[in-house]
Amino acid sequence: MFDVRDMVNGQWLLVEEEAVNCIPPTSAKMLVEHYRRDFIERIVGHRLIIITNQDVDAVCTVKILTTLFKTEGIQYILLSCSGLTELKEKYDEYNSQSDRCLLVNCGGTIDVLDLLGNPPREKLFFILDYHRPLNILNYYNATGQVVIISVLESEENIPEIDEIFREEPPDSSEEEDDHDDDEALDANGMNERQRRKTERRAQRQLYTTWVKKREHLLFTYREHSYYSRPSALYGLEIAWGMSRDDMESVWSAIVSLTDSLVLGRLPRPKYSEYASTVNDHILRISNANQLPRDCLKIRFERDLFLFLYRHWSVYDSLKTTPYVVSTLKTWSQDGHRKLKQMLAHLGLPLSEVKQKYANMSLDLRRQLVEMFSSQVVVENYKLPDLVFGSFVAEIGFRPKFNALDVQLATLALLEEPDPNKTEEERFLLAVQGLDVRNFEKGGIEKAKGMMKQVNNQVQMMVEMKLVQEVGPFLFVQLTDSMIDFNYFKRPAGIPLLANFLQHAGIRAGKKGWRQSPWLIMIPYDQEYFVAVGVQPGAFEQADKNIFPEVFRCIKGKMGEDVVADWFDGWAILVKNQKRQVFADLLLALSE
Amino acid sequence: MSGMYGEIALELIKELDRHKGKLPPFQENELRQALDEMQILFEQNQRDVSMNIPGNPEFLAALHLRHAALERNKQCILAYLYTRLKVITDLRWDHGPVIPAEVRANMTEQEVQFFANYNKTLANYMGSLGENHGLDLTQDLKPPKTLMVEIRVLQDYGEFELEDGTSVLLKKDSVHFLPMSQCEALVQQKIVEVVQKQKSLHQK
Repeated sequence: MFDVRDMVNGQWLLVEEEAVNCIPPTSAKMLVEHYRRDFIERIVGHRLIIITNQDVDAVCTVKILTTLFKTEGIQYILLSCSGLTELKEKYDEYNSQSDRCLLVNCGGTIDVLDLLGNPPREKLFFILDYHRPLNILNYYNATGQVVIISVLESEENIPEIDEIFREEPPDSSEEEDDHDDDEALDANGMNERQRRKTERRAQRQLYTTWVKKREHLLFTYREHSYYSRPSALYGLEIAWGMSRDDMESVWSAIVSLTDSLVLGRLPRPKYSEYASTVNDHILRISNANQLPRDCLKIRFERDLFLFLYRHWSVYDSLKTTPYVVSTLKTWSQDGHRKLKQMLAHLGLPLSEVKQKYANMSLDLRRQLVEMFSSQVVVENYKLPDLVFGSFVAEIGFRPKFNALDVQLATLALLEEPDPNKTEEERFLLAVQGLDVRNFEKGGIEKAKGMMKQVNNQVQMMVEMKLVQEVGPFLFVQLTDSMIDFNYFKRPAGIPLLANFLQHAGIRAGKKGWRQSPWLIMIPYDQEYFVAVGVQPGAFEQADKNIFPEVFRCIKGKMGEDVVADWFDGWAILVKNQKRQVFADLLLALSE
Repeated sequence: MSGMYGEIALELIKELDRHKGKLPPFQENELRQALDEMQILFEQNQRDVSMNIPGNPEFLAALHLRHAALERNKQCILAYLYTRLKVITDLRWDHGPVIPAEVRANMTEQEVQFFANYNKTLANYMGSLGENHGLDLTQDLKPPKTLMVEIRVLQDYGEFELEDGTSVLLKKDSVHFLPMSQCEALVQQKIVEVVQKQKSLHQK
């Protein structure tokens, strides 16, 4: 594994460096401790500008919060943006309209006040962001304008305030000049001066060691990027704090939680932990009111980790779910046989699994979960995670649907490569599509298309042996034959493809590849490609990612040839012609 | 003259019934025919009465019949005229003080006059309400479920000033949550659309 420590030349620290000498903030931290007091009551009576990132979690959060604001009668303006530039554009356009601004899944990792051109003091910014680590200057801001809606978790070691901010002692050499003339010959003064001088020198010394320590602290703090709790869970808690939570907001939170699991943003233990909190909400709400028959009911239960199987056939679903595909290597003849063998072992006739799930015999459908969690699957086929704790919803007597499918449908709506729709339009469509009563309308079919596309990419990578060992990295260069209808051009969807490619690549390639970081290059348009950094083992366990820091370094060196506009640092746009420069820099940094 | 007495007058009523709640062109010919019919009936009755000797029941039945037809025609014509006026007053409440041109084409001169008068009366009355501020009675005819509405902007519009003095920038694909009363005009101009409310299961 390479060490980033060697490659840092102080460049990435620039922002914090400037702020060392500013007056330490008076208020220690700006976290929302009480949702009603610190958040809602500060926006009541104002119009709220909501600027949101375009990912599934943001869709869910927006869904919950706008429902809340509607019942509370809080006026809002909802804008979505895909990156930093757009965030700034939107803010500049709208900032005259209101003093209150809510940033969803954006802005937490950058110095917001600086980006938005140091807005006047009456403007307040609420940040609800799952990107970590948080920017220190957002956390400790002198003017108290930035408020972070979050509960710190134990692994977030934000440095103490006096470790980062301290007034710089007066420069010793300058002062010497000042005093030289006045006290030149006075003997007492000599002593006095000497004493002061040493004192100053000691202070100076202390300060320099402090600065070194600070640099180190900030470095370790910022070295790894990761994700914390999905924002939608905070949204749910805010709604709960206002006693306005209902089943549908819980459902939105669940979809977002599932998104975190599918896209590998949260490790499984965390997922289970949050899932059980959500389950508590479900129990509380369903106990509180007598529910009519045709309302939304959600149950936490063991379900298959198979994508879209309720809307497809089990066979198709098995053949496209990344986990199954790469574990059984179904891209090969051998793997295919293995899959069929497994079905035979379980006693599932092909004629049954190949037809639509809805038409399968009821007995088989009821036994599916039990079958796939049996010893045979776990031991012989090494698929222990094929059954997971998930949420299944139903309305009245309509067919059940599960959170996994809704998540994929939302993602597909969001990332749909339709040139006629703007990104904002797709975002709004996705918010509408989350509605439990009509989510099936288009999202599901698009999700199938999306899953087929992922599988094609993987198949191509394996067949054409696209993985190259370059230094400590593994490079995958995807072909640009599908540039125009690619679902995976933005960070919201890329992890699905990237993690799958990594897992499949490892399964098809060498054992040692497991320990290497991966770099996947996805064609973006005529001019740029997306470089995606995937940390080792991303498929099995969500972990901290070192690439954002590496990419920041590269951005510092390559300047205009690299566009680092997204809120997720592990993906950047690089000019096609500069591919070689980019690769060389990356290698140089890793040495 | 063909057919039964009162047939033409009934035709007028049927015509209105076919265009329920709307304003069809004014049937001047039919109305005139109905009036002519009434004139004839009246003259016949007049003649019979003048010829008739009291106590002679010979003509009485015919007299009664004509009179009934006469009354019926009168009733129908009045109903026709009244219903049209009713439609016109309803228009005022739905569409505001200016009538669309295509509706205006179907109105007679007198009806236009009536509408102007009605307008004036209503405006005077609304102005006298609510302590010098006036009160727009035509708004919120049904109590609204919510005062605010979520709208999505369909085309770039620019700054839109609200009643409270603040303004909102309306750009394509932004979503706003604003007071309902201010948005109605925008919705009618197709600048914004109301974000679909949840439909209940039963409607589907």
